[in-house]
Amino acid sequence: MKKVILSLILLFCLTGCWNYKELNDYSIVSGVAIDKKGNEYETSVLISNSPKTNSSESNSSQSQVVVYSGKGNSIFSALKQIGLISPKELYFGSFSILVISENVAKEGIDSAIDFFVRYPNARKNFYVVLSKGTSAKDTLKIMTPLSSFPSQKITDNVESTTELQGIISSINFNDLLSTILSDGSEATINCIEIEGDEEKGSSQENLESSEPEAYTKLGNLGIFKNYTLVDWANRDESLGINMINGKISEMFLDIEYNEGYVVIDSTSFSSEVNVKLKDNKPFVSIDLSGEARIIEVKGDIDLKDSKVIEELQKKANKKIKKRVNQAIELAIKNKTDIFGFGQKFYQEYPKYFKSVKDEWNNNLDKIEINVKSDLMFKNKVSSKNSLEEIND
Amino acid sequence: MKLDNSIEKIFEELNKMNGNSSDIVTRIIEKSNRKIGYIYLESVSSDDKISNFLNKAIVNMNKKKPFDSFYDLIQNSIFNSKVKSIETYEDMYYHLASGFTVIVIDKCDKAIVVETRQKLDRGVTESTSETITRGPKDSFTENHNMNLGLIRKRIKDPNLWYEEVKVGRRTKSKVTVAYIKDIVPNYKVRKILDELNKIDIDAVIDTGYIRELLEKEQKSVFPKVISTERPDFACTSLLNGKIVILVENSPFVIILPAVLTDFFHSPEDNYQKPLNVSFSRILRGICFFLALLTPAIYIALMTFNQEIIPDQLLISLAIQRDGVPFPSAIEVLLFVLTFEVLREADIHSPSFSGSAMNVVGALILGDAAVAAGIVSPIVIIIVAATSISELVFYDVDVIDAIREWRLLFIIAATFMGLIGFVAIFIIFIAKLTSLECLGTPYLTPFSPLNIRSLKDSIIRVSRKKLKERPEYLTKNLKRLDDNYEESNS
Repeated sequence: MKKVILSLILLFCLTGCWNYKELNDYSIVSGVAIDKKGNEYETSVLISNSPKTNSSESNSSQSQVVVYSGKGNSIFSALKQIGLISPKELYFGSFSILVISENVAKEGIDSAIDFFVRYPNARKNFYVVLSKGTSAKDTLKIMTPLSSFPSQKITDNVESTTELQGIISSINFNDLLSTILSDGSEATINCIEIEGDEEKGSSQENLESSEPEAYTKLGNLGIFKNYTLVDWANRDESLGINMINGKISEMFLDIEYNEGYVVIDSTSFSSEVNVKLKDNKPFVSIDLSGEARIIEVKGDIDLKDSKVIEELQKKANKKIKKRVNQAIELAIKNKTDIFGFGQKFYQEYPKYFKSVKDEWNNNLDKIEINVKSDLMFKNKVSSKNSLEEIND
Repeated sequence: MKLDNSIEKIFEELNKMNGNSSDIVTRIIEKSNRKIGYIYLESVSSDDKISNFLNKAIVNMNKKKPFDSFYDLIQNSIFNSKVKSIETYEDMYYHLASGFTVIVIDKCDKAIVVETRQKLDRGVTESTSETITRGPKDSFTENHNMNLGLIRKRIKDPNLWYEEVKVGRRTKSKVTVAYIKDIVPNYKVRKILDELNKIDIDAVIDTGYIRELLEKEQKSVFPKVISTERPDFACTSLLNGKIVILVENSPFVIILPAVLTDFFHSPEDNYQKPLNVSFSRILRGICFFLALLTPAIYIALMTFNQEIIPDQLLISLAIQRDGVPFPSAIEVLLFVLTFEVLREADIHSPSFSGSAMNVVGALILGDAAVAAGIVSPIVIIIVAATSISELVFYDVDVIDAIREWRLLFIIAATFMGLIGFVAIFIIFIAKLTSLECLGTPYLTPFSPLNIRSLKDSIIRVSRKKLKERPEYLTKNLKRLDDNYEESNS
């Protein structure tokens, strides 16, 4: 027992309270935005644990958010500037989103990435988005009624739409880092836009109106070459990129047919990319497959007819192929391998890849790419024809 | 000291021994020219019995009966089943205090003692400290014989042996070691009897004395024997191969050896469906750790390891804590202390002040403290969860042990966060592993692992499958006939 007591005392004496910090001495940062004004970085943090002052109850667990920003020659010095403003120590342990403004991205996100890799206090699984058309700081400031604080809204949005839409592919910091650092693959990052009046959107009133004055919306993919943003993909190209990268399992597609249209929804979409070397020439085959069901029909379309279904299927696959090819063209145009084909060649044929590594991005157009799409219609529909027709 | 052979001298000696205590009653009757005297203590003897049986018998005694000596004549004409003869003053006094009447005869150096005990006990009542919803409701009382009877009537096996030791120089309390001869290994009984014989103490008032004297080897806050006031539970334990010690005038008996999982059991467990029992035992297991660890984990997470808390919760916690003037540890300690004070006050307070205490405890200390900003609401939740969890245990000693270890955990977490917490946890496990009672390690059947005994530890399988007694208690394993299932199907 003496030994136990002695070791306990030693335990406490030798180490002390080396990182003792009460939770309420922290300002919990849940979002970071990086802008650049002139030569100076402007870093903004979203602090989400300031209690609501106007609340009548003293122990209300609702929070109000505060955005602090600071300027400096480097990201860190800008962050340190915030330290002077914030009454409490900034806590980066649970921040969930990093917004990088378009102009920073165009100059290169290397310094931002470098900072967060080295910064020991930050968790590495936050989402990364680009702000398009506005400053990154403003996107942090937009208040939304459904979430208690803005950054949460963005992360919720990223997580939910990734599953549903197909154009959004969430990328967290770890993934981004490994994509950028590995040879033969380049990054794509989603953008975030503000719709409506920024000024009004950042006020508390935005929470109270039933139709918000302003809100943030996730948008298309930004295409990177090394650390710099080179181009924006449009909606179709974004879908194509995500299809090839296998980032989506759910997507919808509308197919024009007989002056009407059919909308199909796929919930088990998958892609497989295989690389081959034939006569020292790179060869890539992309196999897309999945099952889809018809969820909306308009016009004179006889769904009972298996020929019609087959034709629809053909059209759908053609459309998918078109999207994919659009995406590939975009990559070739910008000379950036956003699909990570090079990475695959490196794994399969390391010697070959080493020899062409330096010129890989410039020679993307020399790769023979074969796209195969095999989307099947599953249970047809619950009702064979459109309601319009049943009425007749 | 040998008895004198004159009645007057005996009376005189007795009064000298006892300082003329007011409850001594003496009377001398002359019969056939010889004096017969009797003595009893009216505080413990029944006057009716003495008048009706003893007095009558002596007065109506027929001298023509063919007995040689007068002593034998008296001894054989008393209407009582419990008649003994004694020869010393010490014996005499012991019997007087136990409610016997002593008959002394002139010119005879022996005395006859006749049982005339007055009933000083409350009858068999319902158990108050271990209430159950299903199963026998009787409980042990302060009457030693009645306690032995409550066991004997349940186990009608000649192998149920009682061995009695008198402990206590002044109290001369009967301590009975009960065991089933062909289940319990003999050396364990000998060891206990040896220990009991070695005890040289002036008084034994309750089983608590005996358990404290038996547990002297290893210091631990965790109890190494089970205390119960339920005869049915004592019998189950006996049949499992445990030893029961009963002490005169105590309604609690002790059962040993005990292992940690025994305290997760309830007497009721034997009368309910095995699946439900397993569920509640697992629940008690969870409660054990909840009661032990929750406040410490809370402190560690709040002051050192915030990164473990999920984002949303972290923000909500941070806002709740905002404006609380004390560090988390002080906050928790303050409320743990408050609860302990409440519990302590509640146990010993008469029932009429209970409602006042509820109001003070629940309203003022809980609600008002939060409203006043002294503590954060989450601390109230933590302390409430902890306190409720510890109360699922029947044994007060376990609750106390949890309380003490919890304090250690809190201190460690306060200074070192999760690292300190883990360090104390390792010490905690090491301490428990080192304990043993009668050669049975305290963490049996987990460490050392005994798969067959696991069937009735933290879970209980059905009685059909529970064919054997716990291996760590006995070598006589067979409980249920092997062919039971076959003969039935």
